[in-house]
Amino acid sequence: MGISFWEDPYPVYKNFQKRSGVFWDDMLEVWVITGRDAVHTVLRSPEVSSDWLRLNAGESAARDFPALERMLRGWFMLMDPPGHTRLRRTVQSFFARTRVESLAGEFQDVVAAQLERIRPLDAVDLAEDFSAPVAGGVLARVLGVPVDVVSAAAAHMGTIAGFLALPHKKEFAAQAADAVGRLDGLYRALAPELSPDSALFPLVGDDPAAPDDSFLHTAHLLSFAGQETTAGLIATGLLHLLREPALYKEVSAGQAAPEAVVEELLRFDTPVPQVPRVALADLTVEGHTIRAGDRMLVLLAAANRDWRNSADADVLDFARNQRHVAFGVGVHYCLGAPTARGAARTAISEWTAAFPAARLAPETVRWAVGTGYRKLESAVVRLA
Amino acid sequence: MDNSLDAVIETYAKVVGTSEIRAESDFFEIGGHSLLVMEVIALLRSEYGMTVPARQFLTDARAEAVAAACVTVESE
Repeated sequence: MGISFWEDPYPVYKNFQKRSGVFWDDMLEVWVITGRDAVHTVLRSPEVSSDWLRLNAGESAARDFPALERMLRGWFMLMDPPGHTRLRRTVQSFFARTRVESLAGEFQDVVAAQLERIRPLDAVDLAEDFSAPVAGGVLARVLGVPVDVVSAAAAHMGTIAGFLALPHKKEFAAQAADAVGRLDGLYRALAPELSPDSALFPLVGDDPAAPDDSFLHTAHLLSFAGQETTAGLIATGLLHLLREPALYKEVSAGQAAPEAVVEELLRFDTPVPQVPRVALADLTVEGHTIRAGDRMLVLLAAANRDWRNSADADVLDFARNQRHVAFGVGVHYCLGAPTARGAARTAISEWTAAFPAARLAPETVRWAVGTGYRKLESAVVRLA
Repeated sequence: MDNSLDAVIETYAKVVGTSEIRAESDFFEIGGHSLLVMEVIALLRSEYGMTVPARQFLTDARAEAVAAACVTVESE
């Protein structure tokens, strides 16, 4: 059978982009945006909204699950200014580049500890044995939250992501609602013990025994947006390097700047391939009139391959130095970008240096299905 | 009815890249992505001369449901 979309979505994206950077999909009833310029125009446009309720007015099965809907309404990722601005600002300083860079030593410790654990083994799973624990450890440091809480929360993210990818499916909404209940339990239990240094501390409110909704919702959002994405970047990044032995060797020998490697990996295989939006007013994008109320699917991953303007978009090239949109554009630009970059640079350079002779077992590579972000389910690597 | 079910199952297999497809298999649950629905519709038309409304996939994306909603192109 052919390569599935989940293993390699890029041929499908390429077909879309070939037709047009902006086109209307009859089934989804959305505008599919794949051109780089169109992505910039749409994501920067004040007429374009991230509002969850507006996005799913007709069809969301979350209607039947009030706790799920309440959480999603509380996610600043799904809000517009000024609500978005206010809420994001409460945690922004914890994610700022200078603050995250000051945690570089702690990121090194997280990676080093995980490498120590796996070093004695013959073979490990890239996803389960390295990228997931590293992403969890890094997120825990940035949030100021115990790592076991972050890890427990991570277990529920797939369910929520599955629902967000297909919000009309009642079974997915039910599972996501269940996940929200468990996440609430986790973070309610944490609130009284939360460190005053934690990014979430300002949101708890007056009574830690009954923390404010914004504490719970923001905790879930930051776990959701921070864990799987970072783990995905590290795992898929290492996978692509392992598939290109010459490149792997270069990185392992310290001959490629980790910053350049990570930027090119973000472009080449974008961890969050698509983001949804809805138009609040008519706007024109590359000659197409998008009407108020129309929904859009912005394919960041397709824009990053930019087939229309580069002959070698499908080639991994650390010297490319091309700006990408993996972290989005505009007011919702990824809050976790410095964290993701720091984690991936450290994880990839330390792993490749530790295991210069590592070999992928290609028959073990499995991709998650239906998640809405790039998730390597498993990939076994022989370490020496 | 049998023909449309076979056609849908084969098309699902081709588009999703898996072979374990039954009448009850839901396109999205077997690994279909919503961006691929238009491809399914295009293949059903070009390979089997059948058409199905895109909305069907939002209502019920199981192979047997989509097959039941298929009409041959001449009788549109």
